[in-house]
Amino acid sequence: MAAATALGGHLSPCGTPAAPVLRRAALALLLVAALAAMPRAQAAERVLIIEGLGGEPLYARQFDTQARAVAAASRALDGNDAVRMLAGNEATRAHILAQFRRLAAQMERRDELVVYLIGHGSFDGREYKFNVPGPDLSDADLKGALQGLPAERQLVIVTGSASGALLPTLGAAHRVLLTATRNGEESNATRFGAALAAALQSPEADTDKDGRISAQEAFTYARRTVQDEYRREGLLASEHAVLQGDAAGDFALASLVPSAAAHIPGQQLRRRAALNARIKALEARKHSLTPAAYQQQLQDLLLQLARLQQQIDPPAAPQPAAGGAAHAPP
Amino acid sequence: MRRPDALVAALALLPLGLLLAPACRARDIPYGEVGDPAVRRCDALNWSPQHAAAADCYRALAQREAGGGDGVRLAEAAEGTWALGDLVHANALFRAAAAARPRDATLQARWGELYVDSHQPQQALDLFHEALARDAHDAYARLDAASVLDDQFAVQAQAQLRAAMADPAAPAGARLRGLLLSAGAALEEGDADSARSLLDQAQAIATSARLPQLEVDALRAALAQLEGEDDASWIERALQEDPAFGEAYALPAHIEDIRWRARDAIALYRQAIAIEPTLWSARVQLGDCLLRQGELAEGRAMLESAYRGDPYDPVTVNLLRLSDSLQHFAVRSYDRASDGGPALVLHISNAEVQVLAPYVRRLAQRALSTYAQRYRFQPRTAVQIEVYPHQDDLAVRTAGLPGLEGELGVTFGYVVAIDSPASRPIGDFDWGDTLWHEMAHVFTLESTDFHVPRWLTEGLSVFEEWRTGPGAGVQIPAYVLAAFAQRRELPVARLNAGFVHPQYPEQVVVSYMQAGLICDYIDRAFGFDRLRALLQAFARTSDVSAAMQMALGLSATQFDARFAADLQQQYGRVLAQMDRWLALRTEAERAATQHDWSAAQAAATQALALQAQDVGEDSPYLPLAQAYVAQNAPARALATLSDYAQRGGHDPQALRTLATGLYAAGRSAEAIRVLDGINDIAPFDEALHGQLGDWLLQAGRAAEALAEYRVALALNPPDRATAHLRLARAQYALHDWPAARREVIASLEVAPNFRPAQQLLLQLAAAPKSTY
Repeated sequence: MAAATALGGHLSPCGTPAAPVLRRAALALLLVAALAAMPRAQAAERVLIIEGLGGEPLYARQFDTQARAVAAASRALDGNDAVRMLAGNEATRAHILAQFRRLAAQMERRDELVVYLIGHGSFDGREYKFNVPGPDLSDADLKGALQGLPAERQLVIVTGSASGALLPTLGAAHRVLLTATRNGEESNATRFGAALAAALQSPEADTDKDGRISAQEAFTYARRTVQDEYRREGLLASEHAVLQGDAAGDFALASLVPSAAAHIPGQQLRRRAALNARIKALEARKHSLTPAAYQQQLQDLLLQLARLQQQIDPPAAPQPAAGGAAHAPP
Repeated sequence: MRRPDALVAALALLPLGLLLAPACRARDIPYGEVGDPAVRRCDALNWSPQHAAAADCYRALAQREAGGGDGVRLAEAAEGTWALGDLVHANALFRAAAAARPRDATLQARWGELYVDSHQPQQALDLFHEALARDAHDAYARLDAASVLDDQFAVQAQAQLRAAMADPAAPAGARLRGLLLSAGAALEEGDADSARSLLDQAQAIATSARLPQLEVDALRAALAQLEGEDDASWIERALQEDPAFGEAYALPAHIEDIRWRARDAIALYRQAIAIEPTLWSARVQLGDCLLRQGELAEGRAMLESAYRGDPYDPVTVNLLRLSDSLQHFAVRSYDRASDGGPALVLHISNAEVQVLAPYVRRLAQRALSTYAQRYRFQPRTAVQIEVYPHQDDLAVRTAGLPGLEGELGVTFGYVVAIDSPASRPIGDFDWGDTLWHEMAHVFTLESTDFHVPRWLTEGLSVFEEWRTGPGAGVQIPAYVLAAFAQRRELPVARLNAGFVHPQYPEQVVVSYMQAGLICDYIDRAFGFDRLRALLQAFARTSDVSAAMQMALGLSATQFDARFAADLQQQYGRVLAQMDRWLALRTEAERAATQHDWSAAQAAATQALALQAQDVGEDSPYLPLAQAYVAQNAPARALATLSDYAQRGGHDPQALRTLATGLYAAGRSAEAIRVLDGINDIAPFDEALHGQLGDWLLQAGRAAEALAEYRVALALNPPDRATAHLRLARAQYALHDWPAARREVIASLEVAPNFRPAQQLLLQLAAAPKSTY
């Protein structure tokens, strides 16, 4: 209902008081983000964003908004130099393939690449085409361009119609693919791109609360958002997003807070990383333990981690622990 | 081989009816439609005590197929084969006969009737139309078409019936069949006077033309029941003619069923199948009635027996499938309430039970308490509520067939079934209003032992939605007001017809609204006591005018005049300017879409001046509030939305915006009330429950917050760390430290570095060991 949607931001100029959970989450995220940043310090991440033709003003605006949101999130995460966006007349087939060749020359094997294709696609039963000015970019073009890159870790996100047609063509052991549709037959305009762009700015998408949105988290959030929209509107879903590949959780797409790792002493960072590793190891052994033993060991590790984080955190004004009322345990 | 003594013992266990029953398939009486003397001879035996001879006769007919391509012999063989129950082969024979006699309209019509018998109405209708193309005066074919159309609630049914009856050349048998069809319809509408007159005419024709009177007698039995008289003599008359005529019971049972008197219908259907065990349609109806009464095991067994005899009936198959799916529903039982209210049993699909059960229970118990007080009646047994996640399941529950898109809920005495809010797009319906509506039926039906006429029970349910329901406020769709402007409302004595046999597509909804407005008028003009007295009057009489006289001191005609005057007083301005009002609504919507805010404000304001209660679909309140926001007048926007909500507006997004605005303005209690109200409309929204829980927790209402947070978690949110942390905070506020600890660890298990959860864990760890 358009009328009520437009009202949303205006009726509460002061904003709704943030729930205590979210208020304190911001501070926490600031610090926790440092964790995830550490291990990848030596590998470079490159991001290539390709904005296709909209065809109609409505879609052109949508694609532009989505591409800019993705670019802003990527730059905040990886810095300006790591991100290249091709749009309008720069997004021709020739320019795109040239950009891939430049990346091939710049990248190393340990680097990782994230490619976004934001726009309409089509599939005639044999060939997928991504719509750009001039000749379209084909599935064969993309396959060749990606194969020519030394980066061993690749993530390709295609948000438009018929994008599922790329799954068999681009599938590879070292490559993660996110597509808006499950095949080339789902050819209607999609909602997945908007939902994915929203995910990159949403604390709700950050399900592990590490301050970053991984490709896995963004996909889960976007797919659910799209499903909910179709369900709410009582429409038969004409798109079914697919994630192909095992390592989507390893690709960070956005950071919700600026990195604060530089301010944390290295010893504490290492201890925290070690505790997180022990928690992961315990979770892996969960089914070999009794529930009581697992709970006890998990609680012990979580308490150690919480106490360490308390040492790391700057002193903050005391706040009630729950809801609006502070209750001391009896 | 079975020993003779065992066979005798087995036979002794069979109901007497099975021994008397015809060996043939239950067959509609042709009333002279088939002129072939050989077929007529068999039919005469079939509707007499000589069933064995009838079977032999039909077998002899069936063997005429061997005679080859003679169309007459093939048609006779088709009739015989059909009567013996082989519908597939009968179809092939009719096809061959029709090829041999392409101009024979009666043959086409009979072939169509075979399709009706095999539950393929559309193909049947095609054949009836083909028969009419061959002979436009074939009254039997026209009546066949009317009957099929009537079953489909098609408005053309009446036109076909009138055309058949108006034909002076129509044979006596056709006129008898038309009168029986009309009498059945009158009985379905509860119109005893019309039914009596029609049956008198039918009997006169049957007598003079020497046609079977079995169905006349059966319908007279139904009429006697309608009027509260003894039906036994009429049934006895029919059974004297044919002792195995199950329809003698099944026809009155059908009328009782239509009048929602399922318990009486069940008793009659049982007698029908006792004397005619192969009357498969009665078994289906009995099975359906039993399911409606919550007798799931016996209902299923009955349907299975019907399926074995007639596997073509989609109603049987659908009901059996529904019965299968009910086995995957969760059952939640709640004991009798402390105020003496009845126990409550909820059947909700496993996937939805955790979300819906708390709200269904809350609303149902409020309805039970409210209605017990208003109607001075306590339900005598537990009320069962079924919530169907798919629209078609509810349609099958209601009518045995999918596709009843307008059906939102149904009440079978103490069993209520509604659509789940997840079954339709948000905004299409309010499950809370629907449940409130259906729960009113429980009281109006049961307190009158199902004697309340359809229009009054529906009217009271609509009235209660408006007066006491979760979204209280009179809501009349624009197209209904447009119908009132064209004076399309019915006299109260004929209002039942608007529900049962609509004459135009919107008439059912128009009738609902008219009935609701009638109750609203009686309440305002005479008081609720008189409204309740009217309801109770129908326990003593089925005559609308007599009931009106008892309760209000007015005849039905006098009442119609007073109601019409009130309608004018309440809605006269908008009814007089209908076109202008509709144009203003459209203009408000258009202008808002184009961001022409001053035009939107002007049009919406003028539209609301004509009809301030316009809070339904496309309500002008929404573009008006939007215009105020755009014009930087948030306080006026808030006031507009508050007005909209107080009048019963229920757009979830608008209500959410209102709640947010109220909260921002420091009116947290109102904000919580508005947000909580969305649970009665669209509860499958995890953000709603999280937000409401946060507000409740901040207001110190931790137990209610906990309930909301539990529902949020049941919706399986992607952000499970926050969902568990919220639960931990609520448990902490309730001083339930062990539960808080479990939840905070669950949160940190998902997100070990989630700082707010870490803080709560540390606080809990600081507690003395004995409590932690």
